Amino acid sequence: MDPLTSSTAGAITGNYLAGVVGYLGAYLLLTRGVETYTAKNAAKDAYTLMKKCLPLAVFAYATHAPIPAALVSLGLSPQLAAAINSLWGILLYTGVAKVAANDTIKENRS
Amino acid sequence: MSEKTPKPNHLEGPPTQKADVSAPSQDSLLALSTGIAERAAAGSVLEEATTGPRVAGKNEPEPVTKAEPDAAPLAHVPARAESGASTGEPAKTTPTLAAQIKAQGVEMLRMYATIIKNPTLIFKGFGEVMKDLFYELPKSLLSRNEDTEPRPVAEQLATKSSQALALSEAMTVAGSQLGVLAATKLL
Repeated sequence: MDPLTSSTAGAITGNYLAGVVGYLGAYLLLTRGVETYTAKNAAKDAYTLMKKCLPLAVFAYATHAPIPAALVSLGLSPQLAAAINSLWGILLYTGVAKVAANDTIKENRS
Repeated sequence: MSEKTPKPNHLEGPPTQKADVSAPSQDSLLALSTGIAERAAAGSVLEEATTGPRVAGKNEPEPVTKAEPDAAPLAHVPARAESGASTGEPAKTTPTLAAQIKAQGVEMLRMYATIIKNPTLIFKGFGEVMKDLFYELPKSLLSRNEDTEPRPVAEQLATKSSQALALSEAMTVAGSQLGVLAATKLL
């Protein structure tokens, strides 16, 4: 496998795995003080959220290259195009994940 | 051939248990026939006597007086056992794995459809995360007042999920670098 493909695949895999592990661990630790909410509930909710975010992550990874390329073709510098792409990715992922988190909390506590 | 086969263990029991089963029944018969035993003593002996036949043969009907003492232990029995054999109703069938996956997929599609129909939800969600991180978190850290009422659990969980999302995003930077290193070394 050529270096570009392997590094892209590694970055995508590492990105998603780190996101899942980071969210699971952080949510478990942060919800420890909340009464009537066990670690099992937290793990279940975190798992549900990460599962809901998987299609979004796939979409974000799929548009990782075309969006900066389009921005560069419009005349922007590669650095600016990469920065805009990263900011857009963070905004999209965080916004949808927050909607999914609210949805999950509402479902499991109703 | 049937003589050589050993008896099942649950019917035999230890010798001490046999003595316990037989002795109370004789005492209770004696107490009932003579009428000498006092009410309290007879009650305890009768209670022991009724437990004897239930251990020996499970098909015998229980006396009516045993319904009340057994009610307390039944409280610890899980609801699954109560709804099944005791009432005679068929047990509730749990959905299969395929049905569960399908239901979750439909639910996920519904959520994405809602977001696509209302794209402002993305900005609203991002705004909530920013508010939780840069307003609610410093506020809770700076003003630790014991007199204030605790917030609702759902609200607390929403704030915690925002913080967890931010930490998760931060970890993805390191995760991506680790992934690149691992892939270039392995692949």
